Amino acid sequence: MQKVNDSFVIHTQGLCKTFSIGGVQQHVLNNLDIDIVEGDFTVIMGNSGSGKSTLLYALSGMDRPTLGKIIFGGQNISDFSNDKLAKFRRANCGFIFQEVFLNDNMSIMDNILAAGYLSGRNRKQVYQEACERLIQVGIGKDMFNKFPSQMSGGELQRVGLVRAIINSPKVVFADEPTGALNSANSVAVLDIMNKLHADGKSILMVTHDMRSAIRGNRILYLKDGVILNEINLGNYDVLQEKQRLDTLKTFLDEMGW
Amino acid sequence: MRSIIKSHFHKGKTGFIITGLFIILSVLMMIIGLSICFGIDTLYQKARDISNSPDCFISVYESPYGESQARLEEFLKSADYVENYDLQEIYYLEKEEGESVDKRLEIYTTTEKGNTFLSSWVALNIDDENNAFKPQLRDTVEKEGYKFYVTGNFIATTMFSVGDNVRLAINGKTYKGYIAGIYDDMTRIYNTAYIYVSGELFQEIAKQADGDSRITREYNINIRIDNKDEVENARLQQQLCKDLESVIVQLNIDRLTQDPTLPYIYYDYSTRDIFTQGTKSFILLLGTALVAFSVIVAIIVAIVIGFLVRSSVFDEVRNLGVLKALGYTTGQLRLSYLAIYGVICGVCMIIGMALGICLMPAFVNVVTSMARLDCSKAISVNVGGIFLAVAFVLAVVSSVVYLSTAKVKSVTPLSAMRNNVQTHSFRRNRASLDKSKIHINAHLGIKSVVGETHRSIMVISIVLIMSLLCSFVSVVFYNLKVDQTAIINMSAMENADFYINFSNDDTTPYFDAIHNIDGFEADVRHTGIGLEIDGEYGRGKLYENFDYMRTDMVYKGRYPKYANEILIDYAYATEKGYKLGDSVTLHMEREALESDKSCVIVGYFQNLVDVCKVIGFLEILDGLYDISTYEDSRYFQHLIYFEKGKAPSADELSEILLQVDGGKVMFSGFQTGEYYIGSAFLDTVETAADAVMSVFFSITAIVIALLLVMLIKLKLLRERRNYAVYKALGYTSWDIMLQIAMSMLTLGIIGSIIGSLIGALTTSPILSLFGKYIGAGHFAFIIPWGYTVCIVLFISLLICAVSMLCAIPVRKINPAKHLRERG
Repeated sequence: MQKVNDSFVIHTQGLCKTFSIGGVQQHVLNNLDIDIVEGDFTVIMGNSGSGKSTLLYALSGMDRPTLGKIIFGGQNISDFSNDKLAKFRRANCGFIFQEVFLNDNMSIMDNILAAGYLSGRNRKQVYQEACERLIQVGIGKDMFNKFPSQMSGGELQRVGLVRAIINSPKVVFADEPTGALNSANSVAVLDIMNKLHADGKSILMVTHDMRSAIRGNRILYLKDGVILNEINLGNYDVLQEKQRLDTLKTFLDEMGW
Repeated sequence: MRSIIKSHFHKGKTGFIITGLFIILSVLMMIIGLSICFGIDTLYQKARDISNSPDCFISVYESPYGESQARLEEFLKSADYVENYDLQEIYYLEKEEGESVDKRLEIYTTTEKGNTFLSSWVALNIDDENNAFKPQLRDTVEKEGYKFYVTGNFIATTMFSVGDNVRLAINGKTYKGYIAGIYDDMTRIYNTAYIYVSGELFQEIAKQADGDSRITREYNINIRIDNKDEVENARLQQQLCKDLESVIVQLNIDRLTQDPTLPYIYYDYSTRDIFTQGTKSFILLLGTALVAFSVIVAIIVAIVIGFLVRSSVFDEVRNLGVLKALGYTTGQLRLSYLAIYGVICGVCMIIGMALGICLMPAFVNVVTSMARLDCSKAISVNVGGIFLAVAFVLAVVSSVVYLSTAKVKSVTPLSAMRNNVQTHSFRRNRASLDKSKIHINAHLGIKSVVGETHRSIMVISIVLIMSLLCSFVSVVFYNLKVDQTAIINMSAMENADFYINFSNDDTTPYFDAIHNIDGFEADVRHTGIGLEIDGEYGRGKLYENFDYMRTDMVYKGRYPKYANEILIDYAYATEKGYKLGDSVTLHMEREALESDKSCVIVGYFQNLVDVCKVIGFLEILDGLYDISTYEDSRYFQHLIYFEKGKAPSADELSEILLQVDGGKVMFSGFQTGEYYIGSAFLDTVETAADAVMSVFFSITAIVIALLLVMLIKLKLLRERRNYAVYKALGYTSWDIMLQIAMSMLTLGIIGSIIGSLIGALTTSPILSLFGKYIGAGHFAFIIPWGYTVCIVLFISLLICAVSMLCAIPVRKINPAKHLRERG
């Protein structure tokens, strides 16, 4: 196995992803080398169709690269079988989706436990942790047994966030987590993500929303399947929000966004 | 509207295909079942025409020959219900005491189950040009020697087969021949074998008759009734027998009045109805079973369609709302569902009809073997049956579709836009994970069981129905094939170790030999007689005693203890209103001048196969007739009992008996109890049991497999995004396959346990309910609990295997691909 910098939680070499659409090959990721540093809140930005989500799914082991290597936590996951990848994900990855994707036939607590029990930890501890996390994100006990259809979008995303972190993954992957939320709910969700980051969690988020992007400390700009450039904003501070926003705007302008 | 119907079809292809298969199965089984049930009466009538059988025959023995012919013919010409008749010269051949091996007058064969010496039989002339009922021959073979033709029933109930060599010795002259074929005759089934021989041999027998007292010249009148209605025809058959009997009784009175020393005119008769009754019930049972199964499949069709339509309405709520917003009425939308299911139903019914017509010959073969007749051309697909099957299935499908689409009424454009999300929800989180103690996959499987109530109810219902059927069939199979105690008890047939017929009354050396066999227990004399019960023709079985009976024939009451006590057939008693303690008058048919005997009914027996109506003590015979004339052992069958496990084999017994008296064979054959009862009916029901068991289990497997294929395909389609999320969270394909299998398995176990238990416990009551129409109102079948457990295991394993196989496409679910699809 190739030696990589210990501070990189994810490292890719020559990552390529090609889709065949109507018989035409479309190269979405082109020979991409990228390092995700442990403890960073990394944000990937780019225009629609630039390959942001494809990159996120590839890095998280949900999708396989067409070519290249992905070294995640020191393991080359691009060689893993589907089942091995699944097992890898349950221990190392947490996911937050734009549409949350909770199972409608299960209560929110069961949605979280269905992920939590996979870790093999003591079930009481998992349940206890789920309760604590839900309360931390503002979901009261009286809502634990509610079904997704009985909750608002903001509440659902917070539940999705708890589900993502219930197994204490190495990296939390977020695909447009605030894309379907109103401004207040977006702020609430992003605040929680910043808190997770402050607690040392590595986060990799895909977004096209600048207000969400400034929550990260490292912003990567993806264009035509390659990282065009990146900027380091430092850790998020609510008092410096405007300044971070300006800096990001300038950066994005430079990127031709 | 057409585009809506097309859209329904494209969205639910798998469901439609599987529903269609069930409709085909239901239609074809109902057509075949109804054709058998509706065709049963015409079957026997057509079989009569095909085989050219009469409806009745009467054999008359008198001396001098032919004196009564004119009186009988006069009566037959005057009877308006007689279509035609013929008069046949026949010869009755009987072996007599003291014959040497070389002088045997018999047909002989031997098998591993015993051996048969056909000591008395009737020869008929196959080349008799005056025979109006000349038989149609089948299964003929050509060999060197004289030809003997026997009935299909004879082949079925004896050890003889077509092609067997036969030797006939008369006055030192030996005639060698073989069984050259089968003729179907629907009247000649009891007591004596009626065998057609070639004209040449018949003339030889006629020549020898003068010099051999063992050969008696008789005549036979075959009569056909002029009535096409089978029920009325059967009534007239009995009427004719009584009328003929009256003529002969009057003849005897006239003769004895003139000269008291003149011998009686003896006669014997039988009817087609007696033959029919012996097999009709089993054929009707087969037809009824097919119809019942078809109805069950139709119920499954109803459940499946109900589920599919409701699911479709639920899934399509948004589209339905949009269509309503565009101006479609509820009626039009419901009609779109009716139209698609109507089309599927129509196509499948046509396929079902075609298959029914194609498969009918296979079922006709089964019916043919059950009827012991070559009646393959006598039964065909019944148009009424087709009409009823089509009407029934169409009614089921259309009513279920109509009822299941009721929900369309409540769909409004507004509710559709909200994707049917209700303002208030009272859903409860059942089987929550926080209390889970079992494996997460098992729990999620069970959770989907309680979360999808409609689907769960459907699967449980169908598995329940199928396991109930399997359980029912397995109980029947066990009692017909494995432990036959209960069915033998219902047959009114005793199950002794051996049945022996002797050819002379000096049985001492034989019984000395039998008594010396280790474990010998008893010898019980038994005979069957024709008699009248309160003036109605019937048959009786008389036993010397009931002390060693192994068959528990008594359904209600007790065995007779005294000579004037009898058991009576329960179905017959019910029909006639006889109660325990009532008295009936018995009268021997041949001995019209003897006094009647009054007997008390002390118990009922069930009579599944025999035509016996009365069971009593041998002493009853003494009251009806001078039993001393019957003292000759050859008039009785001897039931030989050995202690349990000590009975010799048929070969051993044969060896012992053949060595008695220096090889001078004086017994006219023996059979094992197993063979005796087997040839009477068990062989037929065993074959049927094998066939029914394999058919039912195969159909159960197919129905359950098809159901699972449909449900799992539907589930994978509807739940693919949830499974993609599961995969993203770290569940492997195997985990998800296990969850699917667990959910189906849970439903399968619940359904199969309930179904098997109900099936096992209700088999006897259900059979009793229907059995009373065929003479068996009380089934007490043994419940084989091991089989019940096996059914649950079989269905569970099947569900597990099929679910896992059907869930394999889970492997193709790519989380990234499915989660990228928005909305």
